[in-house]
Amino acid sequence: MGLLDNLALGFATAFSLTNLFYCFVGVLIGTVTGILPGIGPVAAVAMLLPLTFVMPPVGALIMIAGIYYGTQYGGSTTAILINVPGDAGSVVTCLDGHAMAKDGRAGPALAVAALSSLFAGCVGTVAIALIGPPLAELAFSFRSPEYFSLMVLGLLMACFMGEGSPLKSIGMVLLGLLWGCIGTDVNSGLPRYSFGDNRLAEGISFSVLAMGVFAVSEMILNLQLPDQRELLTRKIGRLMINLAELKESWKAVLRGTAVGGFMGILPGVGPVISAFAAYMFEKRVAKDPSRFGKGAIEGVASPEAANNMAAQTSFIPTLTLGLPGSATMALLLGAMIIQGITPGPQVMTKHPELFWGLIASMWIGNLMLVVLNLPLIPLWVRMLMVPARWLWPSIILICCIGAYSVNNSAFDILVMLVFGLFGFLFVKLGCEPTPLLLGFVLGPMLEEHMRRSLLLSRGDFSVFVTRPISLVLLLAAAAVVAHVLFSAYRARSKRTPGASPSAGG
Amino acid sequence: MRVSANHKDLGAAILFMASGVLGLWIGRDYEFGTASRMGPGYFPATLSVLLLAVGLLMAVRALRSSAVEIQWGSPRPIFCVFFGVLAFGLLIEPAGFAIASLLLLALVYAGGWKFRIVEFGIMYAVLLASCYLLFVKFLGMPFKLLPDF
Repeated sequence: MGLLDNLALGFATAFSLTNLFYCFVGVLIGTVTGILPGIGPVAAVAMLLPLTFVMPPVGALIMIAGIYYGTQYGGSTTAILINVPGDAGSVVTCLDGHAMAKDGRAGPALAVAALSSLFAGCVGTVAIALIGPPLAELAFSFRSPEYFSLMVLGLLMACFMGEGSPLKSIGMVLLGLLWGCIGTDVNSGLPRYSFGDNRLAEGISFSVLAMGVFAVSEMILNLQLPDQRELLTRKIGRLMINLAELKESWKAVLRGTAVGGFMGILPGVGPVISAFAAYMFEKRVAKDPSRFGKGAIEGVASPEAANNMAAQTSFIPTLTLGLPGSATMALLLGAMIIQGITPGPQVMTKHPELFWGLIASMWIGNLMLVVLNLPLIPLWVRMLMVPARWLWPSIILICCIGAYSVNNSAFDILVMLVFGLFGFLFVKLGCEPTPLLLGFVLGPMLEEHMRRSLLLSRGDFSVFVTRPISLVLLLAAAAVVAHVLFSAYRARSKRTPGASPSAGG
Repeated sequence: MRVSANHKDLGAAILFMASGVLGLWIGRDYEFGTASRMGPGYFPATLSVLLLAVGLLMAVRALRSSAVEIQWGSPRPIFCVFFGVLAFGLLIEPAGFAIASLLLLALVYAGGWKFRIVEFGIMYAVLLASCYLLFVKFLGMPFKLLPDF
């Protein structure tokens, strides 16, 4: 089938009434998630995952995807109007977006944020459609050793290129992999780490773990902070950009899209780092960098394009290789597995309506988001006035109900609580929880591919370096590690001694 | 005695080392097997050893680096969320949705804010009604509203 046939199938799927509905619900929830500070896309997706288990697979994935990229739109609204990032992807939008709002140019700032996101979203959709099939084609030749090496590469990249200290992230991946061992071993039927409990012998549901680590812990942290939201009733002004502003920003949009597109594919990078990188890049190429931070329209256009583009392109490795690069993508992958779809390149051939329908729905969803985010701005501003003391208790209640619903068991609520406390501990210790979730979701597959590879090679570990693709993947992993270690070493020898590079987190 | 060190990193190191030790200890009877025939203990034992190694390396680095304290924040939200969720989990089956959610919401609300009884009452009523309609009536979750008398 050619690309056009595939796209036709995709649009036919996405334009069905139910899928349009799920797409709308997804982007709506995404917008709300983005606008509300204190709840990010991971927590929102985790909270709603149990609901998607009863939905049809295509609809479930369309909705989860909508939440993810919808968040990138909503986050900028809060950043511009209130100077608090609505979600992490819009941290840099605060700098120039809020400066523009202070100047009385909130309307143009919102417009340029939404329109550059739309542009990037459309390019991103095309990028998935173009890059996805050849990548899947390549992945069809993968056997267990290649998959093992690919997962090692993905996990190491997530550790070394993501936020936080690499060593801590490696520890978190290992912890996630170990937690993934809880439950019955598929090969021997032996229950591992179950403490003799039948409910633990069934394994821990990834949605219960994710709700605990990402949602419950976030709510504890939110309760510890004073409510930062102050309503600034400020005139928004015209919600459009004029020709001069378009001239000023279109190149920045293109650059942001390119940066986001490239970085989004890499595991561990995602919208947050892409937006930062795009902002830094924009500042470097600007004729007058001193304008940045004082309301430069490029400083809004470029990171907003980058974060949405990165959100889109991060679907590529997840959908074609079965390799999630971020926590949200790990949840999407988990949702696919629950729906009975084996992740990997065969998704495209066995479930073309799912792959192409999802892509088409993203394009539709991006259009819906512009409508949701520009004309409806006054509505969202009013929603920001809903006090936090109404929201956080409700979110915890919904998490508890969701955890119960996974197996209709109250035990899962207690499991979620334990992981919530762990999640809180991780944040306080400066440990990024994303690698943990990646390890947890990939763990069983990693073990199985390792077992099969070594079974085929009769226990010879050289199987991972004698097969060419596997060798290339492992060399790439080594290159990433070497590059990061080398640049950290160089940075340390430049700086004053005693400054540790592991202080981040 | 308090050790001057990067306590954040040290705490993480202890967490990793403890997990590695526990992983090895609990899994001590899982058959290890050989590389060509990995037993159920092969993968978790490998992970545990790696965790232990990462933890040790981090501990050494943390002890040698400059002092960083852990900012735990106010303990009240932690306890309130803990007991709230615990109460919900323990009470949902025997006592029903109304009582379990009342305790959960009241504790979480009290965890962050001064308890305003009227506002809380309205919030509880709204949430109870909407969640009951959505999850029980519409999505068919097997919650009972009130305990059996």
